[in-house]
Amino acid sequence: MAEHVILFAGPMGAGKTTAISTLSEIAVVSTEAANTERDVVDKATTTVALDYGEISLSDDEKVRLYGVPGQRRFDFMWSILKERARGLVLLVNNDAPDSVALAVEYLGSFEQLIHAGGVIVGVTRVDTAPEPGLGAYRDALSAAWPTAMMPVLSIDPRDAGQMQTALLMLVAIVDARASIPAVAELSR
Amino acid sequence: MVALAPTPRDSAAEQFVVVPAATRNGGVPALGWSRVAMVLRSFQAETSGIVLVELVAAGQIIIDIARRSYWWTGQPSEFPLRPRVARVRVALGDGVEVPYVQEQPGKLDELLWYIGRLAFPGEGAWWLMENDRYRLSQWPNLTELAHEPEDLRMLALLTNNALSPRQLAAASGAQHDSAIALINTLDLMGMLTVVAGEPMPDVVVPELPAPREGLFSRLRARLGR
Amino acid sequence: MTAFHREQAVIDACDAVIAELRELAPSLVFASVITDDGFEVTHAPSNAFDNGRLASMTSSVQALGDAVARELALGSNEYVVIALESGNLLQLRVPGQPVILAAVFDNHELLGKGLSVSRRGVERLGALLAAL
Repeated sequence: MAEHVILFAGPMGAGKTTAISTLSEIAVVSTEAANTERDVVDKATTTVALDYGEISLSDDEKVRLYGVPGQRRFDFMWSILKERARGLVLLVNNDAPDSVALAVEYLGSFEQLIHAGGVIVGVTRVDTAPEPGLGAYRDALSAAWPTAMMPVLSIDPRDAGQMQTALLMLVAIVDARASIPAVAELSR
Repeated sequence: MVALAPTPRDSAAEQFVVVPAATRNGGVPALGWSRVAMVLRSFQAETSGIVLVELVAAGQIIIDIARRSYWWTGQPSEFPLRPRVARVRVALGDGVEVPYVQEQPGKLDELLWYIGRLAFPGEGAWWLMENDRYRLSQWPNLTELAHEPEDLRMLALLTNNALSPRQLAAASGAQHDSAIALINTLDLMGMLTVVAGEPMPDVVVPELPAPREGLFSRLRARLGR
Repeated sequence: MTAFHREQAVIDACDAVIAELRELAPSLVFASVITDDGFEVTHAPSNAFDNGRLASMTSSVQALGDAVARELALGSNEYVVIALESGNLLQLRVPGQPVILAAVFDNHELLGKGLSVSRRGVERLGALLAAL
């Protein structure tokens, strides 16, 4: 049985649970609890363990989609799940205060996936909050990780087409990294 | 339809100069989009200014470099596939006003993505050098750009490798025409780093795992993309 | 508006119930009351464990247990047991309230007794909190 674990991370309210729901072929396993911090993020519920969805490629192969809680007090879940992950979709809502700094901060907790797997950054809610522009994220990520080049996209986690594009991009990156020795031979 | 305002904005038109069609070996680009691409590529380093592309028996494309936006003065359904370019006029620098337009602009990257795919079919853009290799310096925002799945595979390969169009096609399993169209487009959009090439011996393509057997291909098939 | 887990009346009620549990079961090594979304209301004894972290973990474990219960469709999750080499951790939801009791008993206590004591505790706490 082959499994390919894709992680969805990012601050609370960025759209991780929604993104997995959009992609998953099964009803998403969710672990929502009543949010007692409405003054921090105005959401009724929050993920306290993980979200789980999947796409079955065959009877013996699955893409597993795990969403981790956004709050740092659950970062033990980040540690558990990132060990198994091949790639990361980092979602950040553009209307969050200091959203660019948040993106860099969150990505710092998953740095191993930048170098050993693949990462894409999806910026949500750009329709209602157009600033900062995607260029600001690219510049900040490039400053923090000069040798890595991560796609930065605008994305609506409710849109199946966009979410599929993001997932395929990530998988293409992971696949391409695995083929680097062969391609290096080709380009000599 | 868009109304182009009369004076006093007419005086602004005096700031625009006609850009002659680029030539190579005495020939001009056969396709209108090729001609437009040559102009836009030549101004890639500019940070402000307006480009007016006047089409024969059709509308006008107005490009605002600073705002990275464009307007099409014709009907949306009439945006051309194979335009005939009457002339291209440019006014560079700050303070150039966009001719009066009512509609909301489109994003310049969408226009460049469209033009890049159609200009110079089957060949490298005229500004590219033979033997050069290319590495991606920025991913395009593909949630807003129509693309093929093989584009994703090629983009991913260009992320970690400097490849010529021929090498890119071989490594991705894409057609050479598709690879060169993507290279043309990405360079037009300023998203490539060029690795100047030396004359290469004939490239022997080693045995690679067939691209179609990877996780990307299986997932793409499952999603029906 | 004060967050639920910081309301003094709530803290006092939880402290009172934990004290009662410790009277009933000397084998109780540690107990805490945690909100569903992982904030600690109170705990005893005061010098045990990294309580912020444990509160979050308790919330996650409870939520995962609830998810398994839903998946199995055999009724709701009544309690979670983590059997440790040196004791048992029991987690039970407080009826009608968005909080969880987590109680650790040492090996001198039978699991059944620990469960009985804990059930009594959450019933009592539920009544106290409902009366606030």
